[in-house]
Amino acid sequence: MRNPISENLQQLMGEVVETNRKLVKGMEMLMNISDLDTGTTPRDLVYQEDRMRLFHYRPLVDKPSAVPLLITYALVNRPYMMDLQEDRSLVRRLLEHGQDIYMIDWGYPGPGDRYLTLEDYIAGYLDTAVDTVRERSRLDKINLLGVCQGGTFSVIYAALYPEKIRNLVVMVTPIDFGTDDGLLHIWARALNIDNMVDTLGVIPGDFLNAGFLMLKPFQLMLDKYVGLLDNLDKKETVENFVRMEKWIFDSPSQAGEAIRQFVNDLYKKNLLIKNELRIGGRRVDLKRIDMPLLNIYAEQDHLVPPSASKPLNDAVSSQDKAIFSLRGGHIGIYVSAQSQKQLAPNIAEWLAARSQLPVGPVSAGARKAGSPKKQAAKKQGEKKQAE
Amino acid sequence: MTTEHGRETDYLGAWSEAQRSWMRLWADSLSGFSRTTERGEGEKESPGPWKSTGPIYDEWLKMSQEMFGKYSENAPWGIGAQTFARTLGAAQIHSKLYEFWANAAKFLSGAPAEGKGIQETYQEFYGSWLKSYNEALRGFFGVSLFEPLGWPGGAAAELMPMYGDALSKFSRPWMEAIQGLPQKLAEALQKGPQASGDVFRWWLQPYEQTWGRVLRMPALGPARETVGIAQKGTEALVEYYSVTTDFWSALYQVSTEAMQKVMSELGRRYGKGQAPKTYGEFYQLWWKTNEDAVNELYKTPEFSRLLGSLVDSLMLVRKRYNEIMEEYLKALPIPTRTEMDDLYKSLYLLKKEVKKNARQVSDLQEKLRRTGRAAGKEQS
Repeated sequence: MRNPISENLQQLMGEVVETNRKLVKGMEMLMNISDLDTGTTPRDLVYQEDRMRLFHYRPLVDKPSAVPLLITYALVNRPYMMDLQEDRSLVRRLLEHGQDIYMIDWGYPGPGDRYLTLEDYIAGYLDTAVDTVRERSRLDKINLLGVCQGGTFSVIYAALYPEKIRNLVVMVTPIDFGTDDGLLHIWARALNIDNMVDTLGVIPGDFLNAGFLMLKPFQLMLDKYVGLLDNLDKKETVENFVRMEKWIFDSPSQAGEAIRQFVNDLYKKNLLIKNELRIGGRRVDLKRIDMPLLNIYAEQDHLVPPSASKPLNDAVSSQDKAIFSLRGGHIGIYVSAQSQKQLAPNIAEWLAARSQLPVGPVSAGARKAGSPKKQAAKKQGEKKQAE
Repeated sequence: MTTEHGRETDYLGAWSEAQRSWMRLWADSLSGFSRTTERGEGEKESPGPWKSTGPIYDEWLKMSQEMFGKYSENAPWGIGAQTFARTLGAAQIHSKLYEFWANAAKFLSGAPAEGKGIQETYQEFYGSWLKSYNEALRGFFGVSLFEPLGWPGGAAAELMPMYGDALSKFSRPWMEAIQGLPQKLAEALQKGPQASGDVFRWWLQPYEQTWGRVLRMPALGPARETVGIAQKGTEALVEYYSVTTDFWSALYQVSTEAMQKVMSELGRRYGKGQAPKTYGEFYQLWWKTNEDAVNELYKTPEFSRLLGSLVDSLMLVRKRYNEIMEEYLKALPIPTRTEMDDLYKSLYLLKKEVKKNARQVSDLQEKLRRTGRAAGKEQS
């Protein structure tokens, strides 16, 4: 039988020398990387309440859309995934396509935030952000785009406050938590979240990260880094890798009561799709969602499988609804080359067709929107701050 | 070179020296290779290259790891150390796998022993290699759950003597037994993953029948509360170790089975003359087979239950740890976690009340404005 090693010893040695060369060159290159910026698209802080901050991105076209788009991201991980770097930025692409964008940053919960509930996040901070955007744009209704868990929040919000949302877009959003396609859905049912919250109060982000890494241990804890070794001499590749690595491990902790309800009522009891979820005493009825809906999912998403996202379109009463999928996984959908070419144009085009404003006076509701929050914002010293 | 921390490191000098020593090793190895290749056709292959290839690759990796380790310690940005620690960890696994592949290729490329087929041949090799493979897996799967909780990894170990002091009168013999347990577990791993769970269960049975019962006895006397908390802590820790053993056993078991699949596939390919031509090909086969196998395990209800039990038992240990720490902190003038939680709750409720009131005031102001406007219109 043939022995590849003895036949290819010289080739093997050549491979080793080549890898060694990459290591040395890689080190030289790494010494020249001073810092890696993320979220570089210019934006202003327009509102702040507790840890939640609302940013407004500076438009990149002369006449941006008359109806602003509010983006709400998940509590898990940081929203700069939407604006990771200039050539991998869904936000920038949307701005280039004429959108007027606001984005919520939930911040990093500390020990004092353990009692924050889903009601505080959705009927509190998110509602405040929506009202602030409504007030600034002097519109009754704005466009809302929710991503991942932020998408679930957006759907709940749109069901509770349909009068404030003109168009709803959700991306990689879990709605039907009863699916067995994703390991998170299976594992969460066996998790005693009550014990975790009672013990830890605020769940450390790194603890959740350990769970995410376990989902694909060989790929995420080994092969990814072996791949880096292979590419250590390519500056751009290493910079992209490190930037993504920074995002992956930049994991905020989770407010105890909010994650308790999210796991118990959604992952375990699957109440949302059954129209039985209650937020602050109010039942969340998905049939109240009657505005145009665009539902986007990733075909190879191992965190939010398509079977968890797709049922939304059948659960709402919207007449104008569309579903759109991209090849790729949960993260690739924001940053892949395909995403940069397809996703933003599709969203922008869909929104533009549904964001033509009738001519007429602004309602009292829009003028008033956000006024209590305006007071709160003044107290906190609302400041415009270039980020 | 001066680092940002002020430490002087002749990093490049050390690197150059390491390079030189590695090149010397390489030259030595190749000279052995030359002697081998000069043999006439049909002559039995010398073990020279085989002896030299493994060490040279290991030496090279060791050198690279040392250099990168030093570098990452002084990296000028926060993420460097973490990223490179993981990268180097991956390199170690990669290295161990390379060693395996080199040896497997050597073994499988030889003619099967008389009366033995290729399947039996690889099984024989696999058996002898299992021990080192388990060691590699321990390094790979050894993701500590303690660290993400912001809890020093040594905390569990520190708990044992702490509880041991409180209970030394009863528990010393068993604490001594615990010290010998790692050795027993290591022995069990040589026999197979499942055996480690067996050892622990062997230990647990007499424990439950003797000191487990003692620990559940109601504590008496002035230190009743403290002893009671320590008793519960020890019980929680034993339960955690028990579940952990089962958890890792399940992972080792499935990884071992995956390796058998890899071996079987290798044997099949060698039989057909389609052996992996490069280490990269073998590596791809290895990690993808393992990922698929682990994924199958993950989908089972048994694994979900095991994972749930693992996290639950860890939480219980943490809870008991908090309790005993609070017990000790009572004498000091610093707030405990429970007291801070009470404060946080009061603050949360107050903020909520303030926001609600602000909203009501705003609504009333708006109503007043509307009423004023309406009255103004009527007057005009």
